[in-house]
Amino acid sequence: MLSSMLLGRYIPGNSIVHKLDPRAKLISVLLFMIIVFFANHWVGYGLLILFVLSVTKLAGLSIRFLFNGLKLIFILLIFTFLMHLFLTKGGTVLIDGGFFTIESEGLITGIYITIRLVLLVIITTLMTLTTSPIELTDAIEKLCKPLKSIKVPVHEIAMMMSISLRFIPTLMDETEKIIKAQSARGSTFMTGSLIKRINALVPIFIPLFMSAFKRAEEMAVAMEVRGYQGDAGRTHYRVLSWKNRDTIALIVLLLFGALLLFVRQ
Amino acid sequence: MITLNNIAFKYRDDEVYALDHISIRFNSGEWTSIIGHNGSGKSTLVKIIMGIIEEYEGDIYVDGELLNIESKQTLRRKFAIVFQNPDNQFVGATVEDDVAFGLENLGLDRAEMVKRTEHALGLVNMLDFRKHEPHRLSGGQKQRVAIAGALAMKPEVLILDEATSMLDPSGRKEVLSILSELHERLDTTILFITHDLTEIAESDKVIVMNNGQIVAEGSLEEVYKDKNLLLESNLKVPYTMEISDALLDGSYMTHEELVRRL
Amino acid sequence: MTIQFKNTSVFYHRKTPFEYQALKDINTTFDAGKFYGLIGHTGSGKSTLIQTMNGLLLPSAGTVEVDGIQLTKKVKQKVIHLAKMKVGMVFQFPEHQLFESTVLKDVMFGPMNMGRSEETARKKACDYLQLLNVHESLLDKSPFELSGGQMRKVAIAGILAMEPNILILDEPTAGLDPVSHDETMQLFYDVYKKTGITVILITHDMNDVLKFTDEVKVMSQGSLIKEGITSEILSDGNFMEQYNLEIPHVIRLVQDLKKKGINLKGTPKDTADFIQLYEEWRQSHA
Repeated sequence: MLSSMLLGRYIPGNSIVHKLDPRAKLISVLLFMIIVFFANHWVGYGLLILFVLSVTKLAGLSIRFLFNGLKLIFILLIFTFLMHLFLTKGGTVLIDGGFFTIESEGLITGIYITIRLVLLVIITTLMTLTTSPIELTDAIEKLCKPLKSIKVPVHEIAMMMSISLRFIPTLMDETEKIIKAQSARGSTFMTGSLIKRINALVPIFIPLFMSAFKRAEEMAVAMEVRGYQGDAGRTHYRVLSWKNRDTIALIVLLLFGALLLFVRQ
Repeated sequence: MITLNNIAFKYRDDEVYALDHISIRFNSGEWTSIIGHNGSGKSTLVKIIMGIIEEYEGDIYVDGELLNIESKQTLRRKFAIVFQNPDNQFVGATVEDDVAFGLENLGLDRAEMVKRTEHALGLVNMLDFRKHEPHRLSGGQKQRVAIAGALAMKPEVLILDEATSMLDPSGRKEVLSILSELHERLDTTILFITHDLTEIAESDKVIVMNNGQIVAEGSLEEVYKDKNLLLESNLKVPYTMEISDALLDGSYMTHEELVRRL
Repeated sequence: MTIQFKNTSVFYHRKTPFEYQALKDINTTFDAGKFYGLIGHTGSGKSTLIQTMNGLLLPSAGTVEVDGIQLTKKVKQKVIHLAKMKVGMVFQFPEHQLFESTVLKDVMFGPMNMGRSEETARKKACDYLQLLNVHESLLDKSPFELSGGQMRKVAIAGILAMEPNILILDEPTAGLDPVSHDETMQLFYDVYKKTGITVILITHDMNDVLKFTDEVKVMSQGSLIKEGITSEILSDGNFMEQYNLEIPHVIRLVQDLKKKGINLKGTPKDTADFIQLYEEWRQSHA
């Protein structure tokens, strides 16, 4: 189940999309979120779908692979569709079921909104699939730098994100070990009432928290003795380099947005 | 080059001193090992040298200069430390990022960082792994990265605080052989803290600690002279010495010597 | 309480590109009442093997029979629970499993899960805490207030209090200082001598393997490559070298003395044994 979840995973590769500067990708996704709303009839939506398909192709990923990843949010999509189907009124009445009606406006809005949602999820997934988490963190730190002037701790947040990312595999291993140790002591997690099952989580979470605190403490000391004192005077080993292709990518996206505005009715 | 003068420290609420007025000199280019069981005071000593504990009695001199509030920023840079748990000191997302972490804090320019990172990873034979993420490394490899991170800072003293105690035998061997190479080839000053007598064979000087005090100090042979002292300090007597005690004169010897004399 | 492996294989990540076989067609038996050593490099399959003994992992193919309980791919949860009650497992750094509000409650956790009454569980807990020299004044303390060494003892008591028929020790002394190491190993040996249970010890310390175990099984790359009498296998210099395993100190001494023309009779298990063998040789050559 969890393994089919694609959002937030990274698949290393060498495509042009992989090579784009993470800042360019992040800005593009944000821009795309706006551009999606320019479309208001089928030509616009058709162009959007075409655009997302081309980016997927460029990233060297298959459409089917991405659609499989959508399974997890399938219920959300259905729910959105049904809500608009029943609640949006206007146009001709298609079905009159007495206490409810389905009208043509509702059907069309339902379809459009669902497409919009699917495209947004796919484009965000494309970004995380082609960008390593640490690159994304760097991009966020760089892009949010101006916020520092209004006292947002941008560097600290980015540092927290990158250390959390670094510890995810360690803590996953640890969780597995603790589950095994408690299970060997006869703890059962799969059977019994809900309350029993929730109680069975205590022997797992407490050791996990204790160890996470200990790790955090040791990590803090290790960082301090290596001279870490926050952002002041700090340089960066990993550098992002903005290339022509990044500028071109953004221009293409903007032109595409303009095209959508042009075909808008 | 580092001199500790009459250092004492008590943890809050404790009756007894965790460090009971000790004085030590660490000389440049020497490999000094401090051995003692858990709670003997050796880790407290490291915490004081590294500035993690700041309210101690006594004086520390580094290159003749007194360590105090004004001088500590510059003087502390002369030490770099590798801790016990390989996982809890790996800050970077990849091997090279981790080695560069300390350099970033120093505010070095990128070209210098790249140069030093590469050099340090070469010293510990981890260049091929520079792009690897920590969870794809063994314990021994992670500790080698930690050593590279310390060396990249160009410290005058490399401190290892039980850095081998969580490793398997091959990991231990890896770390120890890197250390002896550094010591021989580059004259790195090493301060090695351990509770395992089998790991100190290459040190120039050994310090035995018990109850916050230094109970013996000198060469390996000098420190090993007294079996009872080791036992009292809750340390394990090496097998060669146990056998020599029963069959020969009870003095310390290596395996080869023991075979020769039996 | 025997454990029998029949054509046991374990695959990880089956049917994915990451598939790999952690256990390859294992056929072997652990007899009741013996002290076994299980040795091999990190990643050789030792940990996987022991986890199939109490159903933490189920075999992908073949069976594991624990004291008459058949563990296969499709076994029911209830049956797995039965196997868990027979097998006690001390993992590496067992102190990481402590969670209760008091030392006593934590040790009682295992026995209570086995369905023992609170009274019995308390009694067992107290007995084993005492055996491990955990002072009575600590029983109502939080386990997290204890020192590292004491936490380890409490965690071990928590396993022993379940009074398993088979005790599996996965590097139980990792990270301990040498004196605590010796104490802990001696303690396991005393429990073994007193109760006659089956013990399986995973360790990198060949001196311990020699001193405490009767038989040893050697693993490499998911296969069982050798099994037999401990002293014979550990004395096989070529084999030990081939698999990069360290020869115990006293065996190395015996072999080096042999080159000098001193032939000791028998293989010593530890330094005391060696000293005795050497004395005997000296007297016979006096």
